[in-house]
Amino acid sequence: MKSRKYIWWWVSPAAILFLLIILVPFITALTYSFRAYSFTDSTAHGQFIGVENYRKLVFDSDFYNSFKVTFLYMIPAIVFQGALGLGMALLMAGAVRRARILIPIMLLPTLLTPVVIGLVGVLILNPDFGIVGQFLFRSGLIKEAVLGSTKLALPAIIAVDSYQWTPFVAVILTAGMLGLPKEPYEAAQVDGANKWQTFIRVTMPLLWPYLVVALLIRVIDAFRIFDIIWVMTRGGPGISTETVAVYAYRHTFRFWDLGYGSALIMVIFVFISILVEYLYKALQRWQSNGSAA
Amino acid sequence: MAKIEVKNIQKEYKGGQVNALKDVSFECADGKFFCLLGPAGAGKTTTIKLIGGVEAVDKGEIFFDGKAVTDILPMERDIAIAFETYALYPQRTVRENLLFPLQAPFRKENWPVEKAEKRAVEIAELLGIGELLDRLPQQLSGGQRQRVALGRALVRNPKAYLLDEPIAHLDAKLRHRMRGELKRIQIELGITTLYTTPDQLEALSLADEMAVINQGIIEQIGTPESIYKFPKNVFIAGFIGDPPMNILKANIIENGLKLEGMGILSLPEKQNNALSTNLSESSVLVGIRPKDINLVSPDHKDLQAKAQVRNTQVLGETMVITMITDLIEFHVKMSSEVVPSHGEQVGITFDAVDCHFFDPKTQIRVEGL
Repeated sequence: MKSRKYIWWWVSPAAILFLLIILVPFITALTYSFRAYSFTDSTAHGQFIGVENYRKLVFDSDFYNSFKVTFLYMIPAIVFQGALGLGMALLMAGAVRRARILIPIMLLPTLLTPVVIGLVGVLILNPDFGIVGQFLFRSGLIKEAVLGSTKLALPAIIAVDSYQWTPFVAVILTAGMLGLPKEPYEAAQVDGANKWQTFIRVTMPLLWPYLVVALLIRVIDAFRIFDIIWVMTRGGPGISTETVAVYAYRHTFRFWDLGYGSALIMVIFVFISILVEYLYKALQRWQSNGSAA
Repeated sequence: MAKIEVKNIQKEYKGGQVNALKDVSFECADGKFFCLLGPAGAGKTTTIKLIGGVEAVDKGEIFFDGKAVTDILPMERDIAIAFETYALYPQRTVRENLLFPLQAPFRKENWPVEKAEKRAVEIAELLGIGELLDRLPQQLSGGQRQRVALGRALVRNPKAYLLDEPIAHLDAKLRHRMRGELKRIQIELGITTLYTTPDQLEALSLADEMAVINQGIIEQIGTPESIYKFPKNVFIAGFIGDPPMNILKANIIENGLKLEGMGILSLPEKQNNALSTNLSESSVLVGIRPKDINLVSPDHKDLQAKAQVRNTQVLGETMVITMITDLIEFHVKMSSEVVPSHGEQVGITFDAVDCHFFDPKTQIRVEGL
């Protein structure tokens, strides 16, 4: 009984920290989302307005568009980064086993500030003096500036994002591969499996948990992606690259509508939670059912 | 079916830091059951992997039926391995694991789906894992996984089975049954089987011929009977037999041996002379199996020693008694009809005929006695 008396003393530092840095801002945002609170509208001074912000959101077609853009960015980016990362890992694992120094080297793009990568992206895609932009323009492959095109701006962002994050996926998978047991491969050799069978039967199932973790991190990131887009296109042209994070940022810190911005964030939060939970379970189920024939 | 010959193979790991196999040669005859017996770390698994071809030899050669296979791929060697660590395919059911060896691209035509299915079920039934066919490896206990690993080897009819401690993780009763089954399967199919084990009882009961391996060196090759009866050195004498052979120090005297911590063991003159001429010094190591020691009354006239009972382990019909004299401790194995009490004084005798003699310097058996 005596030891129980002090239990709160021991837990309190962590509890206070948690309250201050996570719970307080979260609850603040939650209460804002039920208030009219805007710096640019003198009538909105923080009064309680119920679910008005959420009602507005339901009828906001730009909001739906931002979800659509997020998925249009996320799905190709994840498929591409997953496939390329896996390929890189398969090629690199042997070399990394001998020289661990390759891991930090591989991670260099990931370690850069996204803003810097975005700016470099803008420069090299510039049709007048950027190396890629000039090439695309002169070869006649494109007729307008990449970032000025509603069709090409998002793929360009995906490319730049992949430059930064494919190595991250590759490193997680490489680390996973280095930890794989040797014996199933030896058994596959004895059993006469060919390369493809070995890959499907041995490597993929063993590597699957690592792939799931890497891709889930990227899914969550997709809802947060802001800096690269803001630097490269500011969500444009039009709203063609405006993901949910960019949209929420615009409303909160450009239009200074904190109430509406908070409501947006809450919806995104709930959406990510459900999505991640669902994806995680689905990927697990897929794995235990056997991922391929 | 094939004769497996291993000639002077060597293997190092970690750039020479670990010398797993120093110089290993042996031969398992076509269709025979060959056991490789040795303690943990002796090089048994390495030997299996080298013969299977999943690892490359540093030096030496391996022949199947006189044909060198040292440089050919594991699947072309046509062997089946049961791995000690199971090495099951994760995320594949027991059924799929068992079927996999039959689905190799070059083997598929010999194993149409139905025939393969039937074979997998048959093997699973034999190993007592018939109800587990649709489970995943991670849902199985260690013993069950081991049986799947064994099944994956037995499902084919290869030139040879290489079984690496295939029943080590089963419980005692099942292990006993599986020993019988393995022997039966092997005799029925007549497939050359190389079997490793740290358990001397398994080796003695299963093998047609066996080799004792220790620290990467083959210590002795022979039939189980010959190895049990004529252990070539002190290590083998101590490794085979349960409890191990008692090794006593002794000095050669005029008409026999003065045993350290015990009395005198008289030897026939011929034997005594042979010992003296064979040994450089006047001391000798005497091995006597626990079962060859007799307990008598302490007043008996021809005693080797008087000893005190330290503890007794009754193992059903037999018992193992640990005894001490002033200087040494030794074991006696006998029928458990009358169990001596702790601390009881008894006399012990044994016969020179049952003794094994080893050179204390080289630890090697003195021959010609």
